[in-house]
Amino acid sequence: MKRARNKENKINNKRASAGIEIVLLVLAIFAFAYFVHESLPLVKADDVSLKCCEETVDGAPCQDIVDEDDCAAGANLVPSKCEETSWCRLGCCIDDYEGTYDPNVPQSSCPSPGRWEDDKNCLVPGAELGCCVLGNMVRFVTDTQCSRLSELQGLEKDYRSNLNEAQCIALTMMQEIGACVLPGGNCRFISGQECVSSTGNLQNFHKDYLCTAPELNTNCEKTDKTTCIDGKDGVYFLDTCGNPANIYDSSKVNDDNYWSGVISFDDSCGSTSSSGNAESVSCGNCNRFFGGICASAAEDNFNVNNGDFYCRDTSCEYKGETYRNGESWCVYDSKIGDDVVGSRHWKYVCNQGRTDIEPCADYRNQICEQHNTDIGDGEVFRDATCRVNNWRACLVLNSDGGGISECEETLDCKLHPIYVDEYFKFDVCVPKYPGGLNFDAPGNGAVCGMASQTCTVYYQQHLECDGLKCSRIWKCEENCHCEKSGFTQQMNNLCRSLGDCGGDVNIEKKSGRSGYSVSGAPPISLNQYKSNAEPPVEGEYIQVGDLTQYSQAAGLVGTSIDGYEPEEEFWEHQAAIGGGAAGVGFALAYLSWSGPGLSVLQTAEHALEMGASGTGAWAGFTNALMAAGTAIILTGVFADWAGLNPMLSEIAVYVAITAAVLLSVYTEIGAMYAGLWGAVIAVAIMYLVSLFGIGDTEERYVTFTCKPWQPPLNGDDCEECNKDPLKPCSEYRCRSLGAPCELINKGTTQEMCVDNNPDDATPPTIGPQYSTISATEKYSDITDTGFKIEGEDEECLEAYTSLTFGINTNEPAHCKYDSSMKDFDDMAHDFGTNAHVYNHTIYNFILPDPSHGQSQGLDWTGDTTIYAKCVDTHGNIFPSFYTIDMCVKEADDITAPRIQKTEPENDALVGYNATSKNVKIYTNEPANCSWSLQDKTYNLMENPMDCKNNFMLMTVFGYMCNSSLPINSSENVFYFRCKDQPWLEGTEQSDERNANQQSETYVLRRPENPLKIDWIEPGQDFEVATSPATVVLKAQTSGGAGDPQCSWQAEGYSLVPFYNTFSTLHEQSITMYAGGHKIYVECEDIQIGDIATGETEFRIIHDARAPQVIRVYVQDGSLNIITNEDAECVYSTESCTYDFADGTDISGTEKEHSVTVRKGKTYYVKCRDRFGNLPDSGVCSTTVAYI
Amino acid sequence: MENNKGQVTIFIILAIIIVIAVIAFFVLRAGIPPKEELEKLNPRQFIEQCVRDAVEPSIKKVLAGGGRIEPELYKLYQSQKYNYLCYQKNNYRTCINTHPMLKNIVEQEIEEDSELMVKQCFSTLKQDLEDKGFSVSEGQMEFSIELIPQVVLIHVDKKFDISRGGTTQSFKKFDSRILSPLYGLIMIAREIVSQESMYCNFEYNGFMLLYPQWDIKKIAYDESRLYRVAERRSGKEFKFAVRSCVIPAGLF
Repeated sequence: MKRARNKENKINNKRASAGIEIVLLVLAIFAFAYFVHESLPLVKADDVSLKCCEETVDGAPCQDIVDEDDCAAGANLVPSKCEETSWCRLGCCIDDYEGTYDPNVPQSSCPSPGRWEDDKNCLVPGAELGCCVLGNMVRFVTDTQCSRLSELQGLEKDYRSNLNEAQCIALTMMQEIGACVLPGGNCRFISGQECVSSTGNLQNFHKDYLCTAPELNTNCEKTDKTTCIDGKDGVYFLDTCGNPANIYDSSKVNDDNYWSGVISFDDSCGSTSSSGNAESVSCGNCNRFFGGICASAAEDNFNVNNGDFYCRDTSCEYKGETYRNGESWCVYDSKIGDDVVGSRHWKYVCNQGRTDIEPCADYRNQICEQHNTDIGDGEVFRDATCRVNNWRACLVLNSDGGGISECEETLDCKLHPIYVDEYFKFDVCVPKYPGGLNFDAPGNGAVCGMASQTCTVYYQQHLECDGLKCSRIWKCEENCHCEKSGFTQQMNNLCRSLGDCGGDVNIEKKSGRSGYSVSGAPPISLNQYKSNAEPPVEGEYIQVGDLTQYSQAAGLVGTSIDGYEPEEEFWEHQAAIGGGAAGVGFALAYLSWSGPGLSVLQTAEHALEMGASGTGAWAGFTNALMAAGTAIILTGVFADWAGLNPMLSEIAVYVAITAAVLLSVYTEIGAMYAGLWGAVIAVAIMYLVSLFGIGDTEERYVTFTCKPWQPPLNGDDCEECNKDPLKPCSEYRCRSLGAPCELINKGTTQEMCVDNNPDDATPPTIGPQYSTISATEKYSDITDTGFKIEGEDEECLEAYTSLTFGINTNEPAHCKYDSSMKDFDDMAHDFGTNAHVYNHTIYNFILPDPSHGQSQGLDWTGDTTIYAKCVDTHGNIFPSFYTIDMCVKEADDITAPRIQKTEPENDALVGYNATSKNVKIYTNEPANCSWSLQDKTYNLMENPMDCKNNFMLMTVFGYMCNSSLPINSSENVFYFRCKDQPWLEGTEQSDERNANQQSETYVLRRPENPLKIDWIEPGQDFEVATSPATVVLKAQTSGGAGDPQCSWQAEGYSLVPFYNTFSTLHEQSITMYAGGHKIYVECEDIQIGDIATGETEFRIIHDARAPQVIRVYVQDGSLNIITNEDAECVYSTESCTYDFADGTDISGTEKEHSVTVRKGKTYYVKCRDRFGNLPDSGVCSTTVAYI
Repeated sequence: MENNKGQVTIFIILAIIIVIAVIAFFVLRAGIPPKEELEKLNPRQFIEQCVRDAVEPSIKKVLAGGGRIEPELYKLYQSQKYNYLCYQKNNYRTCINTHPMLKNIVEQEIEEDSELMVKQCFSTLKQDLEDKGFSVSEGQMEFSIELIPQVVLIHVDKKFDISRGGTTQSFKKFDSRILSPLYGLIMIAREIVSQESMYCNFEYNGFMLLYPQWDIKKIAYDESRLYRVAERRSGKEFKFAVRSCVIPAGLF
């Protein structure tokens, strides 16, 4: 098509401007999507080559790093992950002397004399905890620790491995305690165990007696002094020997009976006090759970009747509510689920009368959950916890095949229904508690972009008459509500639900700016903004959800946190984002849409129904009915031939029925002819009508762009962040209050949020971004107010050139641009990002061939100017316009379209059982494309593809065509060809279209073998030394496309990916208890979608028993011992009290053991199995007297 | 002449005074037997007190420094350095225990920090004794710190012989103890680190209910969690940081 001809069609400047605006709108979406697409691979962990550094420059041991410069000089550095090296492999560092077991220690970091074991969870023999009784104290420690502590305190070891921690602590309440009478009338109030250690004689111990008991005749006398005792709640009297006596009771200071025997808590003063005797001046029967605990009266300025201690009130007050010691509760900044920008969840803890604040992780990466336990009498005990917010998983579920159906079952996710109109409705899986975004992060656009949607509104031209005066008007037919404010409101709600996106407010209830843009519908009102700032509902909190999911989100159940591989999820998620603004929801809506009207046949059927119901009472009914029927059928056929649009087709049917019926009644022609003529008349009339444009349809696009929320343009509220000590400020909180707000003096006592430049009244200056320009273009004619982009040859740019360019500002600024001079707020497009940054870049800016736009009714010219403005963090706006001029070469389009991309890629694999594959190709310009199994010219190709050639529907890769290709063999070869300027088809200029002269060859293959799981381990029962134990789950796969992703699922849990997967061997360490287990494994070839499943069942047997001697005999001077399991045995000829290490070896490491013996000796034998199980201390496996 | 006589008299008087003073010195000196004088000087008590004074500042430093005298890898919060006991540079992953066998590390840190001061104790004593006419013979010093519940044990093994006038008193061990909850604080820190490195969390509130004598504060600051573990009775506090299971802002 000639340029000159098109130029003649130019209309006024306003329309030209509108045309460019459409281009810019498309480009803006396109550039944004490109930006998102490009940014993602940068953060995909698998793409980054990690190296293991033994010690980083900042002193951290064994870190996986990207930059070698982060590794300290001289430290080992290898190009693999630390877990794959011997020196940085994580394990358990054991101190055999102290009996401590430290998990997650690199092998090289375990210092001498430590011993390193290859189990990072320390589920190794000896690491089990038990109750160590140390006099009247207990400790929950390992066996070896207990030995050490007992030795240090000079006590006989008393270790009870069968008690849990709570039972162990409860033991202190039940300890046998009493007076231990020492020589010289001295006495100590201690346990029997301690008394025996001190005096060597249990006779000196008088259980339940106090040292002041008259019958013991000690030197100890009663006093009115009191004391606190470690690990106990109450206040106790002290005797003159310094021993504690009974609970302090001021009425019993001189009561001899009270100073004689031990009185239980229940029989002591105030035992029924509901406050734990808090702040009682006379009674020291404190109870930490009810509200009192022993503390210094002097420190608290409390006057007590006797002594220096009292029951301090351990309860806390918060907002008029009383909380018990140990209770914790959630505090929110805003209504749960409607969390505003900068908000955080807080856990408050009542800690012995003091309210401690634990901020949950910022950016709402943690949420606060609360569980109220009914403790009777209508009272509850409140327990809060900060736990991981699973919000990212919800977004992933929206990806293709991501499983939106699992949304409601997924922790912290909910379905957000969008219903704007009949053909614009869909569900999106969104977080129940949206996460926060870092205001400058480039990935924010990806999160918010999921809510960017375009609603296509369909208009049809009608003839409307007022009396005799008729005019053509466009009437909205479908998705009309998209043009109403409800569309913006619904889309903004969706946008907000994704995170800190869209039109929203901050914690000071101030509106952000530029969080969304909408074209074709009204913006949201100020009142709607305000409604977002709802305060938290009193008494409302997040309840603890499904525990399995809860734990899994925290990485606690069945798998280590390492099993959580968000990077993979993000990568999957990228697929949805990469699809750009369309999103899954929109795709669903699109697919459910049945087109702008009914098909001809449907129209006819519809008309038949209408006609049948309208002709019931007419004479000659049968004849008329036949005529009408004929008219309906033929009208459909004729309308199709005439190319009538659906609306006119439908009207034609009514007209035809009417005409046919009238003809059949009032003329002699038969019913069939009446129908025929009726149809002809009706279609002819409608055809004439169509020549006036009546019935034409038009698509109008209403676009909502969801963008990251940005803080207000002033620093007025910055210091509000420093004012509430119960809600300390943070970087996120501070920055949400205003664009110039900055947290200064980080890490010091002077850390505070301030306006970083309160006197700033200077707008930013703008210049070209020299470092960012495509290789074949350059900046020229640079002034303070703009520049020009031209080709290297100083000419205009080639049409469809992908252009990248940018501007810089001298201070952080938000820049926007438009096709005409507008106020900053009215400008439609962000120059790169809507955040305040120095560098503002537009990627992939493509100016289409002007003639193509002109052909579509858009008045584009080759010369284009975009007008930019920038505003700094204080709202100072660049005073004039910064202009960027460019032009597109105007010449005849003689170039065939170029296929830029195929999806899947050429030579891709398809499912092993696939019979067809949906394939997309992308062209650089609007085109029609076809495919064939043979290489032939475009016109001969039999299979036209479905092409989206509207400029508004351009994608990140170009203009998309798709088709379903048949898969018949292991190698399937297809040929594509395209032809540009589809709008010329059927016109006089159709010969100006350019078709490919060569085919694009495209191959799809089937894998040679189907994907299958070869084996899963463990596959049989096995023994372990501890319960729980670390079990390595392994699965081997073969076939398929290779390197599938495998996931595993224990009974009652969710499916989670293996920690090591995307190979043929998949591994996962799991912490499992003894017992029967069934594990389901599912492997998926992500590339082709094939799935293989398998499962394994096994029993974990906890071997905690020492080996049993099942036979002993002496033969030829040798003592032969048979054990029931493989073991090693030693003996002593003294007694059974020796340590295994000190015994004399007996040969044999399996079940048979022998040693030469002498008559007259007794052999005390101990045997130990491979897990280290031994007989109890002082006990032998067998004792043999060789007589 | 008279003047000369007067001068001679003065000189004679002075000579007498000097002679008397010298005699008195030796008489008085000989009057306090070396053993008794040593008992009075009490070198053991001196050394033990001096060693305690030398070690106590180091204990304070390791309490403040989360097990280190001078933390290298730390988080600054309210102008205080919180030593990372568990650290993971990368996001999402559990932390790596940077101080396995923490008790040994702390013992070593205290030893290294206070050894010079402890040696100074002996030097001071030696100088003091030599000033008093004693001769001192000393051997190599073996100095170690051992943490046990509620106590910091200080072991000093050093041959230290003091002699004068044929009397010799030998010292070999100068063990002393400082009451300190350091052992308990370290054991709790170990437990916190273990839990954090495996589960990304430590439920301090439940812990405090079971063990009310300990006061634990957890502060989420930036991408780290800071812990302040204190013994309520003494108020002694052990501060440290962990960086574990960091979830970055935004999607990535």
